Amino acid sequence: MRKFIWPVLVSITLCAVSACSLRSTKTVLTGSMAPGFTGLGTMDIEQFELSAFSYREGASAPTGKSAKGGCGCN
Amino acid sequence: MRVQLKHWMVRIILIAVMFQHVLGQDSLQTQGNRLNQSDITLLLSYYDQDGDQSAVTGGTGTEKLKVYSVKYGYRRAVSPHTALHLDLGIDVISSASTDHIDFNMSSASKKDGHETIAVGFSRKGPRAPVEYGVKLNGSLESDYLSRGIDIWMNRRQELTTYGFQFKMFFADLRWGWLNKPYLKPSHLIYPAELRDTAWFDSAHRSSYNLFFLYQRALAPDLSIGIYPAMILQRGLLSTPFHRVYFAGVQRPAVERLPKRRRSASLSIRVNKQFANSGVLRSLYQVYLDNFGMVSHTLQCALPLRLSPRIVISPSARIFHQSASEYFAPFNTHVAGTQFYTSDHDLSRFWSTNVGLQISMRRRPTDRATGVWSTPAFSIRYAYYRRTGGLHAHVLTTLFRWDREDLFIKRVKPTP
Repeated sequence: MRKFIWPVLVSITLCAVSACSLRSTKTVLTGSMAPGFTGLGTMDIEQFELSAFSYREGASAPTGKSAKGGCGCN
Repeated sequence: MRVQLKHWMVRIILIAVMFQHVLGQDSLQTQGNRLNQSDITLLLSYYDQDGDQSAVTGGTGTEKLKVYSVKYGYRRAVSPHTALHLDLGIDVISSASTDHIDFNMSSASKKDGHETIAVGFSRKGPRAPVEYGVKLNGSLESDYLSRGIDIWMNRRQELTTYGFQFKMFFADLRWGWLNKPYLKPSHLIYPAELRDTAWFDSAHRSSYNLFFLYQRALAPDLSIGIYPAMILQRGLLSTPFHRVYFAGVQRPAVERLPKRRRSASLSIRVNKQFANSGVLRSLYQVYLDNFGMVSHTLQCALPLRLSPRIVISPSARIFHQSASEYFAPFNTHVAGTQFYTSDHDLSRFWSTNVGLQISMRRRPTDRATGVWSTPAFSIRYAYYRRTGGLHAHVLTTLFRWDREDLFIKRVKPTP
């Protein structure tokens, strides 16, 4: 698993550096909020997916296991 | 499974139609001559997981799991500043690991249903840029009932948004809610060979979640967000059908965790728009709790506009957590310790998640007041893998319709 971590990290860093070096005049989009802060807005497909996966991460606050109660499925 | 899913889908659609009929009356009597938006969201998802470290069998054994989900959300504008919300959800779950609670393969514990409902309202201040809302929610599965309240507020200024959200959940983990002849909370479910002992004196769990939000635009194409969060959980935090095997002891025990868990996290988001057609969205989160766990998350998405209506968004997420001080793998716990678990969700691991989303916006000409738009559509696939072998696929589709409602101020006829 670790052999995948560094290539992904380097790719993300390169993406970030290249993105920040480009100029734009458009207003920035705020994008999704932090995990857990859902507001009362409409459903978000990314938030839904994140909660499906992070359910199996005991330290993945605030969408982590048992934050809503219940035993869940193993 | 297919028949069961169809049955639940019919029920959810019927409830949704009834709700729309009740709220679908003409509400032009409200004050103000302003617009507000209603929307309907339908989400369909299929989740497929496999692994070999199930906590039900003490940290070893199948974790095969399939979940079919249908979620429906309806936001109905009832005045220029107020909207009512209804969320309904059904999950049909097929779990091979919970099938091992007893020794009857493919028994009732293999399949389960999970239903959720939430109703609430939100309101925008007529003058100040404040939005707030309250939502009551309930969640029902055969082995728990959870009720909760969700309070939310934020304030938008020209460059800054800040707010908070407070969520409370109260769960009863007794089995029997959906099972004949009980249809009421009956008892906690322990592994079949351990049912001669009452392992816990309480079946209740409460969770209090407090989130803060601060977002600021630093430049026209650059914004940051800071999101602290705190969670307190009390009550039965152990899962009563998780086994734990001790070294040199033949008979297992039921997982035992402290009755109180405090955790805190801090997330930082940086969004950068570039090249007129893309946004880089990145998030870092650090988490710690009193179970001795610390985690770090790095998440990145890159939505790219291919055409005025189509956006493609690849994403990646890397997660690492340290082990809880109460965790030990299968058959390695030392007898006599106060707290113990072999749930690998509390172990040390790395996980990665990659995904791809394609979104199609509705036609921009569909802006007639009072008419539902053609649907916006998104489809998303993601793959999750963590050290230890657990891996999962999830495929999700989302449809959204919206409508601008015009609220006309009624003018009294002059005498």
